[in-house]
Amino acid sequence: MITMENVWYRFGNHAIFSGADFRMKPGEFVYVVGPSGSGKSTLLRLLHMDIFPGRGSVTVSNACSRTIRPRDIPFLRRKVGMVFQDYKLLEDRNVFDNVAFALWATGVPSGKIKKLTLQALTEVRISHKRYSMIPELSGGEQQRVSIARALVNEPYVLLADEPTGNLDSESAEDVMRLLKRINSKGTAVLMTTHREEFCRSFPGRRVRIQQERLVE
Amino acid sequence: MSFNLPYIIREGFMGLRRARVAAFVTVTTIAVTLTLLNLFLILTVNVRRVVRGFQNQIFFEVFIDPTAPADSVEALRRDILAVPGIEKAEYISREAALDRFKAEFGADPIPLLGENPLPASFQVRLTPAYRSPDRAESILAKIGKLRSVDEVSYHGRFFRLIEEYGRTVLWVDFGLMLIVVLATLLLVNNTMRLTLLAQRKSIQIMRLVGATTGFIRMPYLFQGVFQGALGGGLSALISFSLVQLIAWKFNLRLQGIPHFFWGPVAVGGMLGLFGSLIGLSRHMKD
Repeated sequence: MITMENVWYRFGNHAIFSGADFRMKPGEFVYVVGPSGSGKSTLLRLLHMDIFPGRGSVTVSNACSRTIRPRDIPFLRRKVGMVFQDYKLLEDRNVFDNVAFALWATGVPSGKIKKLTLQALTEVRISHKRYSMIPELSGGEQQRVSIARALVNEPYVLLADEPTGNLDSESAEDVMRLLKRINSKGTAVLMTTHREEFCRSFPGRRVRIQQERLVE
Repeated sequence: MSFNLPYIIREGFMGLRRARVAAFVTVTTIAVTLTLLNLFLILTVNVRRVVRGFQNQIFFEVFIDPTAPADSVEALRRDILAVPGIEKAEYISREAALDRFKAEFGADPIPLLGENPLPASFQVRLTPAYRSPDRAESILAKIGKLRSVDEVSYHGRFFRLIEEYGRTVLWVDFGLMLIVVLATLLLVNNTMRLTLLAQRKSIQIMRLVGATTGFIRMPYLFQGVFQGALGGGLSALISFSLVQLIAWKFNLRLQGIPHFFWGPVAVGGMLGLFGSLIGLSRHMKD
């Protein structure tokens, strides 16, 4: 489902990837670990086709970085959910509107939006706070809203960039349990983290960024 | 790209609320500039009406040589009508000219001079296409050369002056229109920049969840059209009220007012649309 072949990527004079290869099958749960600045977020941006490799190719589902047209990228992103450490929620809208926003933005008919939004909020167990404004929520709750927004379009894969980075241990474990449950229902999850203890508590394939390559 | 009207309207109004100061300035300025343009266009329509009225009155008096034989009158009429641009040539005999003189001045010159001093003439009217000073003067030269013509009288200077005033009004109109168009495009473009700056986070999130650029742009286009049309509507109300007040105060019968009521709404909307398109292409790339 995800293939990176001989990927080279530089940021200015600094090489991030030099001939990196990586494969991920449907339904897998993969941790990408490595120190800060090693290229974990860059990897997710490459998979989200936000940036493109200088050499090599990234393929997500049927979309290849070498051949995809700019106008087709939004359609790929609808099937690749993204979750961030800083949640990236709209603070002037309530929980329901933040999730529904992803459906409005992708042109889902208004008649379906309420049902799909409530389903996603129920899935992450935050539907009881659907009318709360974002600043009223704890960090863990905000991350669950962010996950609901990523899930609402039923993606093949969920890309999570340090989703527990801003959370206390209890909230972080709560988010991890949620990601594992989503994965058990068939959605592949690729998560970057620098907290390797999760890899033991919540098992999954572990990939390390080392010397500008991805190693098992 | 899907077209979700409720979403576009809701997001459009939310965007205007977020950048309300810039939106208020834009709408007010569009209203003021379009009001100026409206008033000047109404003035133009009415000045043009007066000019056209004068142009319709353009005629020559072709005085017949007193020494010409009596049978040359019909030949001269044929020669005059053969000149391109002549609508009709009415013969005014010496007696008819005297009657007109008496009616106009209320005095009979014969007791004073002992004879009728007025020559026979043709009053020549031009076809509408030739009722401009330049074309009239070319005809004047041709008629002046015809046999049995003594003199041709034509109030050219006066008509030329009227024509020049009319042309000046049109140039001022054109200049004003250019200023209004540029000002509106600049304002809407600037408001768009501020709105996009205020909403950069939601735009980033929309891109993350897979919204197309066209879909993201729709609410902003709506904002531009709405600001332009609102400014245009306000200008229509202001200019309509001002014109009615002026017409009532000075007891004038002005023309062209109904056309300037809905016109500014459409013009404002179009300018708003183009301003937002320019703003989006400059400040929101694919």
